[in-house]
Amino acid sequence: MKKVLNHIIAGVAAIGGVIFISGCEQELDISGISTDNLLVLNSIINNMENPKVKLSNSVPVDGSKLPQYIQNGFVMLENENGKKDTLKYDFVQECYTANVTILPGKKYWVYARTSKLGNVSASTTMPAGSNSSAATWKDSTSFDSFGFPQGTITLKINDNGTERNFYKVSLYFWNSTSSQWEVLQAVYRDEIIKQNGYKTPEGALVFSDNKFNGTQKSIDFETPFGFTGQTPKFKVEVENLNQDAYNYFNSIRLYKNGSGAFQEQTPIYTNIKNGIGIFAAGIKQVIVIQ
Amino acid sequence: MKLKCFWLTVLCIAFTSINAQVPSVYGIVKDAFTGEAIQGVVVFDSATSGTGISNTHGYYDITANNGYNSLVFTAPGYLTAVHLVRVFGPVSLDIELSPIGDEQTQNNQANSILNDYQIGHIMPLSKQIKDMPAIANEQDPVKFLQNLPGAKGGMEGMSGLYVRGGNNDNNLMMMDGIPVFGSGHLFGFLSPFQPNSFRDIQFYRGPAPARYGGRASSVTDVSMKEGNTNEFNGEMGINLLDLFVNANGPLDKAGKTTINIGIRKSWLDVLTRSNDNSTLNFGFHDLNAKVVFRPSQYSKLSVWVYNGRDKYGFNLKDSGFVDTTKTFEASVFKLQTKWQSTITGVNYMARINKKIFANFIVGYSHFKTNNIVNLRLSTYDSVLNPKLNWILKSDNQNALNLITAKAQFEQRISDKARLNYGLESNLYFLTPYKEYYYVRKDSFVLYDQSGGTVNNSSPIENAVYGEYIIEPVKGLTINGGLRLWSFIGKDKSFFRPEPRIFLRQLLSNGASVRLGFSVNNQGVNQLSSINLPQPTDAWFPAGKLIKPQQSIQTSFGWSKMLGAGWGINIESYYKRLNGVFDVYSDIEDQTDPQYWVDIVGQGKGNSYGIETILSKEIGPFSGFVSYSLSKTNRTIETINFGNTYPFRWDRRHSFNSIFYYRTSAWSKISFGLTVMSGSAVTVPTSAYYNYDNTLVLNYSSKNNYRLPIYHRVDFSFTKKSHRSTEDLRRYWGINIYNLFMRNNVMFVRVDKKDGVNGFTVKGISWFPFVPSMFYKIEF
Repeated sequence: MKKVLNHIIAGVAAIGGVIFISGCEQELDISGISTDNLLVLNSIINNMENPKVKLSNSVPVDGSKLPQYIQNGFVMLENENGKKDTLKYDFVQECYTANVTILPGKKYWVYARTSKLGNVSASTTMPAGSNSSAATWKDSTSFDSFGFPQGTITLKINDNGTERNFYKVSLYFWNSTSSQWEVLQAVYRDEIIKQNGYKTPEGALVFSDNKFNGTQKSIDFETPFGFTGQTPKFKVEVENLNQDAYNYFNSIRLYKNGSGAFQEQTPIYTNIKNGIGIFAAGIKQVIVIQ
Repeated sequence: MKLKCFWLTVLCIAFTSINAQVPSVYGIVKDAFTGEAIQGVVVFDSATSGTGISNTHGYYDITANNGYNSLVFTAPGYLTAVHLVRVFGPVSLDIELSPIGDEQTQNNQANSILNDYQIGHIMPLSKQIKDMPAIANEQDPVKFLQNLPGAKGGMEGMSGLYVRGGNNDNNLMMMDGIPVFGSGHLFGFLSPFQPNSFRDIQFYRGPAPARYGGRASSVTDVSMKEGNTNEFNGEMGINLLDLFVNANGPLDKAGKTTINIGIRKSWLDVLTRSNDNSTLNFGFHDLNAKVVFRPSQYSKLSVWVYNGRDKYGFNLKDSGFVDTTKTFEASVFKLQTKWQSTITGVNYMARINKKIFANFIVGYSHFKTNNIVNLRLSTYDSVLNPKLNWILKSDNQNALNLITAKAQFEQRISDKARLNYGLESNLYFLTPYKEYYYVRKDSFVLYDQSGGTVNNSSPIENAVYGEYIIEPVKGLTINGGLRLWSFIGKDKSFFRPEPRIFLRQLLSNGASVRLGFSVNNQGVNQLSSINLPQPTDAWFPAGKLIKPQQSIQTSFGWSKMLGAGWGINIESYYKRLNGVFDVYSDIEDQTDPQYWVDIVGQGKGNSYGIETILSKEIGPFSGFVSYSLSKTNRTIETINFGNTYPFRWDRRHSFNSIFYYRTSAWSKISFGLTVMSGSAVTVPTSAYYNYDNTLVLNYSSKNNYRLPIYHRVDFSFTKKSHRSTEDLRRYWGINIYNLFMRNNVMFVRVDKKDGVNGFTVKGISWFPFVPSMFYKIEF
């Protein structure tokens, strides 16, 4: 009897659970508020490279079209002294670029237009300076899960305590076969960075100084077995991001959490007027370890 | 010393003689059947046009003329009583009012929407709540309030409350004068108020009098039953989710001491509890107990306790659970979320002299949530080290403890004026997060650490208030109040005055116009998702980085008793919210100092609208229709790029009605109809390539989309069994929630299309059709 009762109860609970948890789904018609065909501008400028700007368009959510990169648009960069540079489309780099030096602490404006998608604009300010960083590599510092030795790149950042700082750290190794720098997918075990950091699709690490403001922060990255016993060459890029850039990367992190009953979707940060995308800046410092 | 005694005696005599010369009528108003005090009874003296209102002790006090006075006692849910009394100084007159039965057809009775002078104040009848159609037959008082104009319920089926654009934590929920925190069972499905254990509810959706404070939006002041003074009675029954028992009655022959006990317990978990070593925990219980001792006619000592607990999770012991790769074996695996709320208090009320009535409350409110993991396992790593025994334990919790003390006084100044004044102090002990981790490998303790206590704080919230209530001319009542509010936080203190004004002018045709203004401040805040607030959400204090929330509200209304027992009330309001919150990020690390600062945006909001309610509370056919036309916005710098956006639960139109019909002496039915504009959610409006050349969605602005219109019909049928006797009445019935199986979308989810580019936006709805049955016995 008790078994029967238990089955009944389990059935009632299951039905209730299904009603409560899964509920019912229906597709919503959102065509009325569609904002496709907006001009999309993406650019994060830095002090070591010529500015690069990518233009594309937005498309409907339903996937009926894919966004297209725009090659025949007009892009102009202006600094706070009123100097204007027109960026030309570079078919090799697949973006708009020009021979312009980006200076720390300066404000920049970008303007873009296409005949079909209209005008967009944005402004951003370069960080005033970069916090000094240093990096070293040591071989055979630990063993991986298979028992093979692995090395460690140690990055030390002297954080400026008088302001909020945001960092983007990218690691590369020199591939002597292809004679080019390639992204190093290094493992980091730093709890602080793990908790408030974000890894970009290119493998860069973005984090704020929230937990180590004003101190020297040391971060260890484990390099895989392949470099052990060799004389590898590593490149560590440390970029001091401005607030726009950090807001953008952080919103990407939150965006990936999605939405549900308990939370609403976080939109990706944009600072483009009349359009979408990001125009931000950072000061880059490159450390090569040989 | 002798001189001091002499002057004290002279003063006492003088004071007494002055009082003796003032003609007045005072006494206690009680329920004729249960002997319980009735709160909110309006006493009207036709000779002086003076009015008085009975307090929570049922005590009233009204100045009269010497000679014969005709006093009219009106209270919603009770038959109006008229008493002719000969006044020759202070006269004591205790009154018993008879509850209005369903068969009653006298239509010239009081109505709960316009019985007193306070705008936005409603005191719903307990029978309205107990007979309403409800999901799973859980007639939750808070869910009833969701049907009133200006109040919205948030997520379907939950006991959230969003009043005039405020957040859920902006509501001051009180149980016998003590704030309730972490309210609710079943992750917010039920409020902590047992429908069979409360006596009355004072709901202020607009400005509240100066004696209330500490929250920015509304006040729900629930008084629990004190117990029948004449005989033991109560009820017990079973619902879809729980079993409940309520019993109350006198503990002595004279009825001086009474008791009320109510217990509610989920029953599915009890019956499915197995004898083996695996336990599935999903259940809740709550208990209310109150003992009232009346040492004299005009004094009362009450002691009460409430305890509610929820527990969800599982506990597997000696299960021999082995993972598929046979690398570990768990002997104990416990995963549990539990929370509990405890409230206890002592209340002493007494008539100090012929003019002053005093009320003292000392209470304690406790709330705590635990997320527990307990794992004992053996791992099989390699040949050399075949077996390692691990113990892993963690306990993450948040808690709030409050010690509160209040002293409240009501003083009659003259025949036209009275003064309410008092002070209160709230000492909080907040633990927004605390963690404990323990890891042991064989006999070596690898980790044994607590953290997160950096955010513990003990803010103090104090208030002194005064309300001067005067009737300067016939038909005009003014309540001018001031509350001096202070909040002493860990790193910053705040002091803010809170003016409160109520005004009512009776018009010649039985109608009245009312006006209200209030400023409210809030020092403790709950870190909740605006989508679905949970009882488990942590509370945190205002401070240097987070300002107190504040509302400034003006309300204007008109009300009138119509014919055939109907009453109508129309109100307009404008509410400004300063420092209001919205959560925009997820928690990174709760051990960070003030971790909430990085995840909540604080800004401004406003809400305005027109609300109306048409109500009939007497007769076989009764009920109400409410409608609100309102708009609520938020402007927060860190959210939506600083642009103004609609509040998540902003609904332009909201129509609610519940009707009760007594079909015969043995059965009654009730219907509920809810029609509302869709709430605001955020959906993608286009797709584009981001900086990383990844296809992402563009959410053009927050809450940019209106969900489809919400409508729902509920039905309830209650039958009194023919086997009932006068002493034992049996009822059974059914409830159907969402009778027409309408899929009302509550939130959205974005899914990637299979195999092709593109996304679909799906609306999720709950509770498409929920039938339930109940059985109960009244004794």
